[in-house]
Amino acid sequence: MTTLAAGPFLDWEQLTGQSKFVVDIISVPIFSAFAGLITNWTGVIMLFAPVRFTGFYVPGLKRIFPYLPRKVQILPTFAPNGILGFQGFIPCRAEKMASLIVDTSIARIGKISDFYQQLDPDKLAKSIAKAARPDIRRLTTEIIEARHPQLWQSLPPAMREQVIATVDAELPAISKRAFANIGQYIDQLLNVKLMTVNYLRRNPEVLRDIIRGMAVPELRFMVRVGALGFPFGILLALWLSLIYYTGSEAAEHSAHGGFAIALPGFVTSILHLLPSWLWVLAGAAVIGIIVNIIAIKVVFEPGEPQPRYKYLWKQGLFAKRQHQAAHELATMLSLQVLTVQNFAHELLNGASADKTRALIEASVAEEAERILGPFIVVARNSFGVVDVQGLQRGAGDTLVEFAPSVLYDPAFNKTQAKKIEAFATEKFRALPPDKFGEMLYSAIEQDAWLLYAHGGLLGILVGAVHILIFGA
Amino acid sequence: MPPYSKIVAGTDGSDAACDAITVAGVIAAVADIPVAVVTTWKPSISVPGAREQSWAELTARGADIDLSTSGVRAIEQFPLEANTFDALIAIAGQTSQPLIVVGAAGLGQTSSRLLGSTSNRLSHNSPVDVLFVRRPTARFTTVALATDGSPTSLQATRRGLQFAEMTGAQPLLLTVARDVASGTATLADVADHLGSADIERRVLIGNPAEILAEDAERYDLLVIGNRGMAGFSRILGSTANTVTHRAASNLLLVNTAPRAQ
Repeated sequence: MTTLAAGPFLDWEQLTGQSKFVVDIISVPIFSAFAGLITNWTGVIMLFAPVRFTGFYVPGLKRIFPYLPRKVQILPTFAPNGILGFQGFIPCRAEKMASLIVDTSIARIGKISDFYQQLDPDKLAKSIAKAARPDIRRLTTEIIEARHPQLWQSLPPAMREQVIATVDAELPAISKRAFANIGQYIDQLLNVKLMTVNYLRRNPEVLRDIIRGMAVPELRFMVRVGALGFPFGILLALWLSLIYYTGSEAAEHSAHGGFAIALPGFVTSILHLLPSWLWVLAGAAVIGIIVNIIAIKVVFEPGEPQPRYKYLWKQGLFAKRQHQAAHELATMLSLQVLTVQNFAHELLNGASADKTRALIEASVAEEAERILGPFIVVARNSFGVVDVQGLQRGAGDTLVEFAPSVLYDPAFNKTQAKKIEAFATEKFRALPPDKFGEMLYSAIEQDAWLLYAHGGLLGILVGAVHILIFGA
Repeated sequence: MPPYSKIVAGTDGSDAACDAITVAGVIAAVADIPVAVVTTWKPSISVPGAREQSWAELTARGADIDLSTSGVRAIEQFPLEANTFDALIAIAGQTSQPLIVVGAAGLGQTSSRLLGSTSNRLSHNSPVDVLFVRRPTARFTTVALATDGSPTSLQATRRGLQFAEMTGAQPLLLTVARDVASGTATLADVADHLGSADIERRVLIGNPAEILAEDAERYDLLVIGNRGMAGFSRILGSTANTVTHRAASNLLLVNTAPRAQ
């Protein structure tokens, strides 16, 4: 019995009673399928995990970093000060994806003011006025007392009641005017793109959950398509057999009745330029890379349907499922990112918060002057100077402080979320398929080569295990 | 008396499931009954972390929002780590007269029938009534009650009639017979049993399963009993089975088995 298919530990040919060809044609495809599945599976995990950069200090990395090619520098594997590690592609590109999501959806509808109208500012105003009503007495007293304790105390009770009654009656109008003014200048006050980008940068796990939940069928496909390693493995096994049966070992065995293939001398020498173990490793690496490429390409390319002679699968799977995925994306965004709470937070505490507050104060001031005018005249006669501006500022601040209690109310958010969801769904569905796919692809495309390289590396690893078990 | 005291609606956020939520919302709003939204998840090996608890919670919240918009006043959310069929049955089991509402996406496809879909399993094994949604509707206007005059189908038509009353829809008695005369006689008999002498009626001639499935398109809802959905009749091929899988409209499959009574 000859020992042709033999690893360091086991002689498979002896064990099974089969030729090297049979052992290879069975074992190589199985290992290749395993390599394909594991590379694609780890590839999908790499898209999302870890959600925050995780790494360790590598001495000397800081020094060599500037000399690395740009393509390598931008990988999500480096952090400042010589830290080497990794962050999932999608959380790492959260900002880029977020800005694309905004650009392709909200920005496309025209202006933020249109979006603001979706929030129904009149209703917002009414809700705030309604919610503030039970506290009117306390709020009014606090505002005036903070500026002029003695003025409020000295007013006759009837007059105090009159002030409170007037404020109570006028509050819906004041609130409406404040919101109308905000609406008028909303383009300068609220930067939805900045808000979305900042929010998703601060909470990369939200983006990860949204994308992972939305693209499950495609991600599952990406993993499963790794099983294509099996047919590629058959090709590799045939190639390895060709090399073996044209080699000297097979020729030697043919003298004892074994099988060998005779080829012209120069072909044989070309085939045997590389040692057979290198063919195994190279073949496994190529399979690892190819199944990774297939996974990415079939999911994302092409956006628009193409004839089969150009793309066997006609249209990228993600683009094909746009109708459904658009709805899922819009639902998740409306529940987590484009919420009234986040808009209100951005307006009142974001980059342009001081402008918003100034605008509210100005709106309130106009009304306050009208309401308090007669009383102020009375007060001036008795106390001399009255800090009218202080009163107005106090009133404005109070409205700003009171707004979140309404804007963060779950029931209110629920109603508005539905509107935003319907609105965003429509916009995402109306996008050209390639633009829709780009939202996700943009996070992966520039680093895709790292995915492919990892596929190749894992392929080599599995190939090495095969050599270890079955021999070269 | 309304036939149902609570709706148990299953959703996974898909288009078909959203249609089911819409229909559940329409019924619950008009009948003023609560809705329990069930979303299930299980840890995935192929895509680790996807569609797990946070996804299930958000999907249930999304459905809650849709139902609130429809005017449903009482909504409960159940994002559960469980098998969908088991979860729906378990939640339904907490109520005396539940109605399960699900999308019918898994009923029409051969692959789902072979690999097992929740709607397919419900159609054969649910101990309570199930409404399979094939098209969303803003309100129920016509409800067809299919009958062959048998005691079980009579039970189904009675439930269907209650459903029509609850939703304010126009009920219609439907039968498929060999000839018009025998069909008319069957319907007269059923109408008599139901105590609705003036109910609208319609007799169809042909193969019952095929013609019912096709004719369903004309109505917002077709109501049939689930006789023949389990056991030997299922294997031999029953009218209910064919109609359930092929009906061109929403279908209310009334459980007429003794255990449901």
